[in-house]
Amino acid sequence: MADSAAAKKRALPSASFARRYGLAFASVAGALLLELLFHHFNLPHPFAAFALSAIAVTFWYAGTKPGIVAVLLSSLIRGFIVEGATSSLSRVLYNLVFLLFAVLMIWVRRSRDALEVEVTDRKERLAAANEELRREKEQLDGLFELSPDAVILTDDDFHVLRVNKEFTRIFGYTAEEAAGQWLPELIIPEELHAEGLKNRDALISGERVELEAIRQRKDGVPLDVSVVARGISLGFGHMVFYLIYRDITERKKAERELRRSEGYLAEAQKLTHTGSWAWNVRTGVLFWSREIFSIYDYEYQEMGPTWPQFLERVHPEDRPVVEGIFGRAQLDKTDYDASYRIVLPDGSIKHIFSIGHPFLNQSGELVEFVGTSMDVTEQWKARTELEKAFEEIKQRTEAARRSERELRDVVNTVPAHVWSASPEGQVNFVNDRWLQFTGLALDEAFGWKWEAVLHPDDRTRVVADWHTAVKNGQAMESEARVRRADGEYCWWFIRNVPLRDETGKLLRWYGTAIDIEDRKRAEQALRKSEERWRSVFENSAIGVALTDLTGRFLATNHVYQTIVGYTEEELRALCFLDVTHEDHREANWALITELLEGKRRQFQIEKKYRRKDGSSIWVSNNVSLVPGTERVPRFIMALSEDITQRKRAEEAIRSHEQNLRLLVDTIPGLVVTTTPAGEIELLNRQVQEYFGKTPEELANWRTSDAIHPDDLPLTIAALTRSIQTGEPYEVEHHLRRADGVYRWFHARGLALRDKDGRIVRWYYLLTDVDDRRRAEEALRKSEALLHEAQRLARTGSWSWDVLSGRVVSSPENARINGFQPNEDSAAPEVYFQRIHPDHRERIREAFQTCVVEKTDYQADYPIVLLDGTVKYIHATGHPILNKSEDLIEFFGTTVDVTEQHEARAALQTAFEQIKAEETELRRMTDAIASYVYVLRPDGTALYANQAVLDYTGLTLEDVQREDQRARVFHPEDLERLREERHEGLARGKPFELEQRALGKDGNYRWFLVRYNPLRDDQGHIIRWYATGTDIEDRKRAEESMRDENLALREQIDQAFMFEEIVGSSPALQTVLSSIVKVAPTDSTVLITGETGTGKELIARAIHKHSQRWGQAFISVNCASIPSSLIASELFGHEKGAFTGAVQRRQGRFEMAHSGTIFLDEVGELPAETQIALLRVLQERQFERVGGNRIIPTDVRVIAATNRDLTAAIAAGTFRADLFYRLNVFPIEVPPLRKRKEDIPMLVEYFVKRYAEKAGKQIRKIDNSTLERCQSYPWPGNIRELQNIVERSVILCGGDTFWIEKAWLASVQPPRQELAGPLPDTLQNQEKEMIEAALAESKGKVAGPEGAAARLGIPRSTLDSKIKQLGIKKHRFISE
Amino acid sequence: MTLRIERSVRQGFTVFTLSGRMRAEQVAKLKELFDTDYRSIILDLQEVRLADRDAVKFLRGCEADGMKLENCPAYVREWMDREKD
Repeated sequence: MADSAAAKKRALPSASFARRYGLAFASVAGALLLELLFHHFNLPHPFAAFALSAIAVTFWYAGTKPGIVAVLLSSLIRGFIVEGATSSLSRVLYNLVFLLFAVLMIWVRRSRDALEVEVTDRKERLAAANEELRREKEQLDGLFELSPDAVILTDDDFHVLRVNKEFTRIFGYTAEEAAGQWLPELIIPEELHAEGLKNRDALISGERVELEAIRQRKDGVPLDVSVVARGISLGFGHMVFYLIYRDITERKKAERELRRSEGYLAEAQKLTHTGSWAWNVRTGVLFWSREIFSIYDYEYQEMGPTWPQFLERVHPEDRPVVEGIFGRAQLDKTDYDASYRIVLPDGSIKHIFSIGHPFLNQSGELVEFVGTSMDVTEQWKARTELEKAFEEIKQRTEAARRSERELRDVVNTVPAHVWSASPEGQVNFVNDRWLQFTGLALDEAFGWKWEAVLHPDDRTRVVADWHTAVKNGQAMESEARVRRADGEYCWWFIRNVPLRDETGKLLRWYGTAIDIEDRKRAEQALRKSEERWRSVFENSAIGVALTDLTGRFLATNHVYQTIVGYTEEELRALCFLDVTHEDHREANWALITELLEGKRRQFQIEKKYRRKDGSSIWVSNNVSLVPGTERVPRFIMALSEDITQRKRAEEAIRSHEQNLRLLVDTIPGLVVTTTPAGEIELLNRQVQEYFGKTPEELANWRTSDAIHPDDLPLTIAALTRSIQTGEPYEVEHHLRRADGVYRWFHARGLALRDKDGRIVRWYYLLTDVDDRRRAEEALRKSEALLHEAQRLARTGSWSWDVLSGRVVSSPENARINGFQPNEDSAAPEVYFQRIHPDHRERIREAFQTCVVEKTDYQADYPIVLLDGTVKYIHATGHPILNKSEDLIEFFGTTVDVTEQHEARAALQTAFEQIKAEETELRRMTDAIASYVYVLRPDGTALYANQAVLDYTGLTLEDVQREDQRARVFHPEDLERLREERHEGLARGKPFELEQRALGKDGNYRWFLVRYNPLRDDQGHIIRWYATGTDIEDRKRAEESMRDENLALREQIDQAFMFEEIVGSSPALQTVLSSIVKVAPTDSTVLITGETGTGKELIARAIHKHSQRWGQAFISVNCASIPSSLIASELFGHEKGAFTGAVQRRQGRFEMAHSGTIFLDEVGELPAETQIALLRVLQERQFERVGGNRIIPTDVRVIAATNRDLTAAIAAGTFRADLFYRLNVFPIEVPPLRKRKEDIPMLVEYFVKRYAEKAGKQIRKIDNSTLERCQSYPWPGNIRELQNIVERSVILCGGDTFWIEKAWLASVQPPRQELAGPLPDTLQNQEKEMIEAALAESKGKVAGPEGAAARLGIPRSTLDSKIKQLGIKKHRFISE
Repeated sequence: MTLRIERSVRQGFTVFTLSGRMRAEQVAKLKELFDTDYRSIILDLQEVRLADRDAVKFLRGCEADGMKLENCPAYVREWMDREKD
């Protein structure tokens, strides 16, 4: 330690050996000198006091050894020089005093050295502590910047203080752009500002704000973000807000997609009257979709009704069935389907078809039943009606068949009797069958006696027919009723055929009679049957059509006619193909052909008929070929049934199936069903789209074609296990999309079993969870980053669940509290036990108070770890409440602030030490007579010594204020000082400034301030020392000298003020006098004079001697600018003001701002520009051409013209008001002919100028030339003279200047006023013109409407001419 | 001084009245404006105060293509004639 102190002491800067010992000798010599001086002037001369002072000075400034030398010297001098005659005792005493004083000074000196070493040491410690704090700040800054979320730090008015890089990435604003911006205007859409302000109010009230909201990027694109924000108090009523934004656009998008998909599903359910439900077996909670509530006519609510409530809706007859089916499904854990009725509150009945599917957990326990219920009332009604109609048709068809069989039996029955007769018709034979039948004897039959057996009603007809036949010899046939033996009559069919010999002679008649009683009866029965059949035929509910083998209609019934819309007569003219829809004709005819060819006995066809009105109708035709009889040929019979309704029902079913298909296709996932063997049965559209393959292509795919190789082992194992056990299959793996990209999918497979429990099908649903997986991955990363951030920031987080009473702690929190990784740290008490015993109860009470009051928690306390280590903790907590405002969780952070705590304590100690040292040092500097400032490296004041405070009357706090410089230093010096001081500080080298400082007596004094830098070991400037010296006297001397110089320069300027205006003629002197008078004012000047008289020189002279001489002098020749451009030239124009105005351009007035504008040839200004100029002169403002912004201007206007503006006013070409505005101070420049005495001087001036320019030596001017010049009228004035001189100098060959005679002789004579009268004719014409003008102006000569203006001549000229021509203008007044 | 271009129609001709200073940079602008047959264009040059060599060459080309130049300042005309030589 001592070595260290010594080393440090050695390191301190010290004076050289010579200086130190020289000081010893010098101080003692000084003491001796004083002694001698005092002695010389007879003053008291205590050498001892002087010597002690010298010794003290030597010890203090030169060190111990030189001090001892000084003691010895003093002792010697006193002993041998000063007090040589004193006693020994006195000498010993003095030496003792010197010795004691030396010892005292040695002690003082050592104390001082030790103090300096201590000060240096403490400064180093302070610097180290500062460095540590800086490193920590950098770490925190790094955390801030590297946060995975956008972090914004704002002040309490939401103005952005700082943002991190993620903020820039998400919102597009750079940190510089965001800084200082009002956050709501920066990222909150305008319509959400109110919400943003509400959140700000919540933050100000100390609430932590967590929400999901919509914000907008710099480019206006909205995005979803999650926001976590809270305020942090900085004390003194100041707050800052941290807002952490996370981009959740993708997640919100996925949520919206899900909601939309749910919406589609609900809509699909609504359209198909299908609702879904889920019943949790454990909780008994029944979930119903919205559509089921509609089907069961319940008000929609979040949860479905209870099971008993549901059963109340079920029809009482079906209730046991439903309970049985559902109970059995629960027991068997199998799928079920059930059809039952429900009775709605209004008494109406609905038919419900419900299917359910059980979900089992991995243990095979039933967890949930999920299913759908469909309102099939409409389908049930349609099916019932269809079945009824079908049954009816079936019955009628059966009846028709029976009738047909009966008819056939009758036709097949035929009886026969035989007899013979003579050619004359006499019966001579009857057979026994005949006799037996009639019961007659033979003789009773022969001859004509047989007539007796005929029925009286038939006898005459039959006998007559028989006579006719006999007579004609032609065969006859007849039917008649014959009396049977029992007296009953029976019908016979009688046929008599003549038998002839070879010659044709009639030999005999043979007659046969067939007992046709049965036939007749059959016929009657047939007729009756036919009538019945006809009745059936006609009244059948189905259509019947008979056609021949070509298809032509033979008969149709009414129903058939109704079906096809034709009458029977119309149909008879048609073929069945004519009414068959063209789409079915070919197939129908093919079947008919097969029927006719005997390949089929009948066939059934469903086809469409084209009705008479053109519409189509679906029919089901049962077509058969009816075998022919002897009398009836084969025909085709078609039984037609209108099946339009059934077709519609089928169409509805098909549509329903399509809807189901659509439903499957709209499921947000890939749906696949396979056979138990794994063959694909069904794929929804999404599968095909995802893989970009057709179902046929996919059928040949292997698992490895779709699933990522890394996932294959796990997937195949899960699949194999499910197929073997029949258990649900659930796994997540990558699936390769059509574009080759792999995405994460959650695959779930379920087996459908039959009643015997055999798997009949597998259902697979693959859901795209790529975004979720990515989000999870991001979350995991974020969590890891958070943990890392917590580790870096030594900040742990924790949450305490109120219900379970358990604490969840982040790894860093566990580490801070000294828990091992596997140690149970879930109990709150273990944390309290870690707290230092002196603080434990205080913290426990504070936490419990926050829990009870549901307020934020914040505490600082030490904890003691198991190994005895003490840590200092800063803990915060925030209550999480549910909707009922009940506390459900407490979330908080724990920060290990041990190092900060220790650093702060060390700093505090160091600060106190430094403060004490500073006080000591200040005392020392205050003792210095100079004005001393101590400044930070940036130049701000740290300290000023007492001399400064005494002079300025300020306190040290005033000196340290930022505005102290403005208060102390002279306002005129401030800007200069700021720049020079800034440059000097930046250079880092000593520099000086002269400045005036305000004393407390109210007077300024000049000071020379010298700035010297103090650097650390690395050469960095750590302080500036500024010492001021009063130089007031010197500055006064300098100013006196400068004033003298200025006066001298003024005199010189006045002597040469009009150097370009040459001449001394009285006319010119008058002009120069006017210039001197008007120049210092800001008045507008109008310079008149002939062309070439030097009006612009006059204008420039006025500007040069005005207060605007340092500003611009802009000259504009109004005559040289086209009238269409004069306005834009004077006032500027905006881009696009006119064609050719390709960019904005400043006008001359803008260029001349703060200076002077010289408007030459102002009389040439067009009228509209005169108005604009007048406005500038009056209002001192103008607008650019094509612009609408008023531009103020501060311009002095000097105008010039060679025109007679009075005449122009009279002529109406110049505005009188503008003239008066310009003619504030008129200066008339005389023509050269009126200042001839100036001509020699001018010639000399121009000769000299052009000779120098041409490099010629011209020594003299030819006298005759000067005479000619003076006699020449110079109509072009000085410009003409200047041009002639220039021309002559060029031509001049010698050293004498001369001008060619011809140049001064060939000019026109000077202008003359009109002297004599015009020729008569002209005079008359002139008189007429003037009279006409007077007549128009009603005798008025002057003014804009006067005759002079109309004629375009000055009023005075007109008056002269009126007088000259003898015109009486009064007579025009009367008119 | 800039160049101001005013467009009007006279008896079926498109009249461009130019005012101010005509320089090379304005020639390009004029070429854009002269989007029709040059024979149907009249160029009024009365208010043209200055023209540079590019402008003169352009005017000469315009005249050669059938454009009619009105009120052509004498010095411009002379310069155009010299350019022909």
